[in-house]
Amino acid sequence: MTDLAIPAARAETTTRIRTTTPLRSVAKHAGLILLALVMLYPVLWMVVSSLRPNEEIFRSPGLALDNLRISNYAEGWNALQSPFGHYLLNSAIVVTGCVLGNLISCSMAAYAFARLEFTAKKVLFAIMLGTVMLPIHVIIVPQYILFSQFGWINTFLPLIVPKFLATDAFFVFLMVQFIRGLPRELDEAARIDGAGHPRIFLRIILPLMVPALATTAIFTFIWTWNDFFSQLIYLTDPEKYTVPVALRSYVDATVSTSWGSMFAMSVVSLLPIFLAFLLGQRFLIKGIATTGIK
Amino acid sequence: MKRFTRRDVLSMTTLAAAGTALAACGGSGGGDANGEITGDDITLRFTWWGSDARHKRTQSVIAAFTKAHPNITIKGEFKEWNGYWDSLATTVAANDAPDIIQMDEMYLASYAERGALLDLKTASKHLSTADFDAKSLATGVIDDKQYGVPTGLTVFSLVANTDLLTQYRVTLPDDATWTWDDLKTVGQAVSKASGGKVNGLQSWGFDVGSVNIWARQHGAALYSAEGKVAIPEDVLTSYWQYLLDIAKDGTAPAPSVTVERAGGSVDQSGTATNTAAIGPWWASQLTSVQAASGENLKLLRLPGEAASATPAAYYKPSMFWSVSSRSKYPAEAALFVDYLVNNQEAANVIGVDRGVPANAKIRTAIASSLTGTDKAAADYLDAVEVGDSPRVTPNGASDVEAILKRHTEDVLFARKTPQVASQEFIKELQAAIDAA
Repeated sequence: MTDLAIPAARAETTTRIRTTTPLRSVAKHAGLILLALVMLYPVLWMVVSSLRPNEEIFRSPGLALDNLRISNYAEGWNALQSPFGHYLLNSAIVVTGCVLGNLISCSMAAYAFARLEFTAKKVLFAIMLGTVMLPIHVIIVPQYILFSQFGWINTFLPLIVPKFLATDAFFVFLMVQFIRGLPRELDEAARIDGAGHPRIFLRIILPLMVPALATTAIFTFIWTWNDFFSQLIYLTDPEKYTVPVALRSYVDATVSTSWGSMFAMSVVSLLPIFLAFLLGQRFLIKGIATTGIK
Repeated sequence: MKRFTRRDVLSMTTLAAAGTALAACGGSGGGDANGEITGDDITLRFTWWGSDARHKRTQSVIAAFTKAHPNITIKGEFKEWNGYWDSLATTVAANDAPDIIQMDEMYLASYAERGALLDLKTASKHLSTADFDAKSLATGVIDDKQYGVPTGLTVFSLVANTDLLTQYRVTLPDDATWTWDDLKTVGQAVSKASGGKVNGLQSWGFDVGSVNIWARQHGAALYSAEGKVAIPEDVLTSYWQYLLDIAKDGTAPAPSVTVERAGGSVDQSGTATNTAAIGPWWASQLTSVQAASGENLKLLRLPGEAASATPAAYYKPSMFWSVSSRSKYPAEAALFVDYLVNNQEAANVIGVDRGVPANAKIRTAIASSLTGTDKAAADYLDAVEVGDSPRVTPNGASDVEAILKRHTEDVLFARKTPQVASQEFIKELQAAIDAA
């Protein structure tokens, strides 16, 4: 029955492809390319501006480059107290910590919610989901008081440690959905072979949820790399600044800003995100498509 | 049509939170501001906003101070403007405020009236204000308490691009006696001669300075002494009518251009890009505008001053030094502020980066070392006639410029008549003050 259904479906798709005329396809692509260019324009303008002399940047809204000035990169790299690499390294430390924290803690919390039975599980699950809806501005002051009493201000700890406590409810939810989709028979087979929860989690569930883990890793990477507010609040010493906070040091609203340097360093700081997305894109789509969150 | 940016909402919520937290804690936890200077090793936290050039100057002043006081370590924490206020609101709310705070006129009352700042008169033993003239010192006083010492002064002025004026053969009338109509005529002549390539005027309406000037020339004030909105509706209406007129006849750029530039930085303005012949600026901004423009710029007196009963121009403190009321070492913090405002060596390093020094003695001393646009700004400040400074922005009115900007946009885009905008502006600003 199913064997027959598949070729039939395939035949249907092929006929549908044939009916699209070349003209329509060209028009569609031209339209898409045009729209993509419109969306990309700000990024392209930033890249071009990073190669322009400072005073020309706001006089020319176009993309044509009259005077090439590569020295923006060298100047921007050294404009702040430390070379820009220092801030990239700080960001890398925070991002690595957050990714590790989220992978370890969220997967464990998700396993508990998906496979274990305990009192008030439903209520706790609802509360956990509720935390997704709390904006950071509501919790920042109490959180700050807490961390300042721990003596953690001006360290990376307030940024990293919470991630090891499964506080990113979004990822817990994502993984719960994923684990619920795995057949319970696998757990039961392992249980008959004498495996307890730790072993089932490590040997059965974890290897099967690689797509969800990859999604979590990539999103955590992008969100942490781009996070400005909490890094601004907790890091006070310029030596500890991360990329987003350091980039803002180029800007001053009341006097002139070295835009060329800032754009140059913005381009540099976009590279890791761009690479992360490029390499992880495949997992990202797979991870989201298979968890039921669409 | 109420539009807030995410950042507006954010700073409001954090500040509101700051208020509640402070109200809850109450009292002050600091030490004795007039006590002996400690001989123990202590660390003071010092926070300011600015760009990289200011960071470097300030760091070297800190180094000079700590050399003279080896037991005091000063840790600088610096941010850019927007991040600065988010971060300050959070730390103050969390009772972890830095000891020495660079404060702005717009926020002084908000923090002072919530009890976050120290009355510097209680530290008079360590912090001398003898060399300040009374008018400039009064800008940091609320309810008879000195919550901030002004670092520098600036005045609202017009900046003219003399190269553009020469190019289009437009002569300026005498700026000691000119009127707002004269300004319009000059602007029109430039716009016409350039065929619209260059506008005569860079429009305004986004800066509280221009409103203050307009109100004072009409014998009114933006705020009454009690901290209520006091600007009469018809005065505000005529202010917006003027802006609408110059936008309509092409003297100023089209509203869309004006609004876009107002949202940008100094470098994106009409004066800086040499696309407007005359624009309103704080005199202290001349150096940055000049650097971006590259052409010859000149400071002009405000129109209408001759007809005004008392000078509408006033000293605006470019910023203040404040000390946290929760500081564990208020005496030492006051000593450092004293060094910042009264020490000649410190003044030589700071220069006019934080405005032309408000300390009259220091101002005279560094005047000879100033050159170019810095000298022009300092000379202008000395030459211009000023009236009494307006009242400090009341608690709750910190967002006055955001409110002003929204209403100016509505007027320019003809979504509201100047009259309706005035009514709504006054109502909204008063509500913001009442809510604080």
